Amino acid sequence: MSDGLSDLKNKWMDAREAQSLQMRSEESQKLVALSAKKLKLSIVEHVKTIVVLVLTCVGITLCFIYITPFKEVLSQIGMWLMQGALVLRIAVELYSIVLSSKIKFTDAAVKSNNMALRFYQFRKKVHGLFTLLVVLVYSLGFYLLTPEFLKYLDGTQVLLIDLSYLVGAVIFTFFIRLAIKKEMMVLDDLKALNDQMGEG
Amino acid sequence: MPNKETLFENLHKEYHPMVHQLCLGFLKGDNSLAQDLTQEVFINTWAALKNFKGAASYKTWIYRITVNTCLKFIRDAKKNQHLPLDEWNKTLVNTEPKSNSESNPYQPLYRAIGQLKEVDRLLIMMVLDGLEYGEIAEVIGIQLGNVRVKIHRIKKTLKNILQNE
Repeated sequence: MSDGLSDLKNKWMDAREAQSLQMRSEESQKLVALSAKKLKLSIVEHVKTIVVLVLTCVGITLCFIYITPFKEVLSQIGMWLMQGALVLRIAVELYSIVLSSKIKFTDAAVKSNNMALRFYQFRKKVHGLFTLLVVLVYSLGFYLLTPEFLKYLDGTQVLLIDLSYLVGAVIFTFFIRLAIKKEMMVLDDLKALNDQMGEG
Repeated sequence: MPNKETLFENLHKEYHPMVHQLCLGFLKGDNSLAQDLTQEVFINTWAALKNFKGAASYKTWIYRITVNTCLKFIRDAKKNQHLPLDEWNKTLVNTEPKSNSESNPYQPLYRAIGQLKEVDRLLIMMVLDGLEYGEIAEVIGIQLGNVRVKIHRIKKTLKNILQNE
């Protein structure tokens, strides 16, 4: 095999020589510019969920203070449950960013793969029971506002608000399921790669 | 000590052919995808350059970035296409441009390497590149003995593939 391997090595080096001649090498300055652009995109990608959650949290807080200042205890509990659920979700997203920042391209492949595995295992937990719990707590908080809504709005309007919330929750659940499916596929691949790297 | 831009320019100039060939072998000779992947490797290199501590040589460091970027590239590609890894690999073979295959005399070599498992592809290409087993162990992060066993097995598999081509 050693002769076979040296033949193969020669062929490999010849192939490099051949492709080097016809290769279009990009200018490094262009790559630097692309890198800066990509870095910005990756930051946007990381923080967009947090921005949406923070804006929602701020939005409903302002709404509770200035537009619909709820008076009843039940509504106050509802308000806190909604805000609490959002704050918890923001905290989890922030931790997610910390975990993903630990996946480094400069680490050895096994370590990098293990960090990615840890990240996706965490995402699996987040998208599973935890998200369900957050949605349930948020929804409970929302429906606790209904009795006080009924004092100021007529029954049909409140029914429409409650039903539209339900539709929103169903759509949200659908997208969460899609995200879970994608991330579970990645998790399986990472496990397969881990096995490949570990097996003799 | 050169500034970051000059250092990057030198690294890019020196290692571009090596990185591009590894990407080509990893992607079964698909030149267009290999160019995208090579670009991705150097974007990651630029982003990581400020944290380079000099604990490894630039060569080993760039190999690590290349290996991790290759493994992530496949993960991202199949995530976007909603395909399991095996299916994605088949897609890659089926979409291989005929003209590329016919005009490139080294295509059978890339195709043979492409039939190996992802990690095995990267390992054998590092061997063909003349890396010492110790350096390969450092890039992948496994024991030296494990590298020897793996490479012995991969050589046998590759020999069988080439004989049956």
